[in-house]
Amino acid sequence: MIRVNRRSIERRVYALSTLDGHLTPVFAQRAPVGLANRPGVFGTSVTVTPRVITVGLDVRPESFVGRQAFFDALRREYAGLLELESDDLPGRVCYALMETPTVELYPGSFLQRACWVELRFVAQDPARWDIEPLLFGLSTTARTPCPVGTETSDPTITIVGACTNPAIVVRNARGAEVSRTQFTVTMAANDALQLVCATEQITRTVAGVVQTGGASGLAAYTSGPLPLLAPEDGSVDGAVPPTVELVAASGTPTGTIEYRRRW
Amino acid sequence: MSAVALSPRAVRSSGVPRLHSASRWRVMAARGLDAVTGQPASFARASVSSALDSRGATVSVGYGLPRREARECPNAAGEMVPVLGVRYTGDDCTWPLEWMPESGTLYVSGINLGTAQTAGAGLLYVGRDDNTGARLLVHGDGTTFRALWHTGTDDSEAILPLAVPNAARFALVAQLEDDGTSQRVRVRGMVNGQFSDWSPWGDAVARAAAFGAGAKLRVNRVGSAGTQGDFWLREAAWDAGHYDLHEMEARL
Repeated sequence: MIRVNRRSIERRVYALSTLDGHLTPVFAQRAPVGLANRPGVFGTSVTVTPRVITVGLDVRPESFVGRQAFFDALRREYAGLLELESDDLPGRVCYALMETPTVELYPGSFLQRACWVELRFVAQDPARWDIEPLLFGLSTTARTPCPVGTETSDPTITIVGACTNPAIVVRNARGAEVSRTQFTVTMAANDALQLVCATEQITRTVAGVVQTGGASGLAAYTSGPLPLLAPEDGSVDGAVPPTVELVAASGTPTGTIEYRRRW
Repeated sequence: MSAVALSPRAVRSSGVPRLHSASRWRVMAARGLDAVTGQPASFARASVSSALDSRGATVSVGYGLPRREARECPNAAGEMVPVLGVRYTGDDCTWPLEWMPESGTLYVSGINLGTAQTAGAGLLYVGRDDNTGARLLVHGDGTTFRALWHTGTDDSEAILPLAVPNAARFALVAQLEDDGTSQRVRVRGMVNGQFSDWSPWGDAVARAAAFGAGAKLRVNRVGSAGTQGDFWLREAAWDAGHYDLHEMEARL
């Protein structure tokens, strides 16, 4: 039913009795809302309500000592950032932290071992992420369609030379340009630029050697936002996704774009 | 009705939620080569190369950059699903080694495309570059994978009791047992959704206390000059303690 870090939550319990909060397709965003905020980067202009998933467990241990061992196991297994996955969301996960769980004894059952445990998982980023990333090639000769989920995706992009002054162009479903990330750099065939848009890092390598200082990737960056794949740049029904292409002052750069869709 | 609250979980205090893992060492190839626990990857391939994207088209991969490639593999239900791994045909990748020989579990998952069929081809290796001293390795034997603990003098070896065909999606755990006097290994795994039993423990050999200076964790090769196979790395991890396959996956 629900798996935490790929392991069924039911394996230690008699029954999983309640599960709430994991299906909500839309979560509250308080105005003013920038339409294309980066995942995980919530600025001062937008507040996103976390997704809260509660799971009620009917625990029937074989002994009082076993009950405590169950609590110990809960604490051990559910510490840290967790991947939550359920049968409703095959291939997608939420990233959540477990808040303090509550344990209730059933009425008049102080001498019984059974108890009710409610786990509360809080996903600060309420979106669900594809487990498997998508990987597509980029070129100067074709616009690469990049399917998106219902939320924005931050891609990781590589550009491979030889070329001069490459740029990354994102277009919406109508073909209109929505962003252009421009670099001023001369790249040989063995040179590459790597953009990790989620962390806003740009790395330049020359024959596999990372460049620093004035030759760094950041130094090559000239203008424009880092590419963001947003559903509002696709068609309303999602059938026509935004596209990404490379351009250059001279030469024919190639590259890849890799990202995980968010829903 | 009586209610009590469990103690809050122990989270390293950082002021904001941050990723941390119970695992001592962990890397997930689909999300970057650096270990999640902070150890930087050292990746090398002295050429521009190519890979297949999610639509099956050939894409160009830059000089020295990891080749992420999508492959269709059967899942537990037998359905073909696309999965992304880092292709390691002739590439070399290492991470710093920050633990001593101890009772622990080595986990690796990926897509086999020839490593199991190449006798002696390294899948995952813990030890010195020159393949001397104490070392723990998982390698192909022509049919499947073997875990080998070599102290520099003695061998303890375990054979995965399941054939690993080409294009198979696999995950395996190799346990190193260290009782303070002797050491031995065993292995079990999953191949295309089918789980094997544990192999028998290998021979107990006199304990080796250190991997030696310059030891690393290496993918796709035994030492820096060993035989390379062909596989797509998905995830790898090391954790102190003995864990089963699903327990290691749960700790990733």
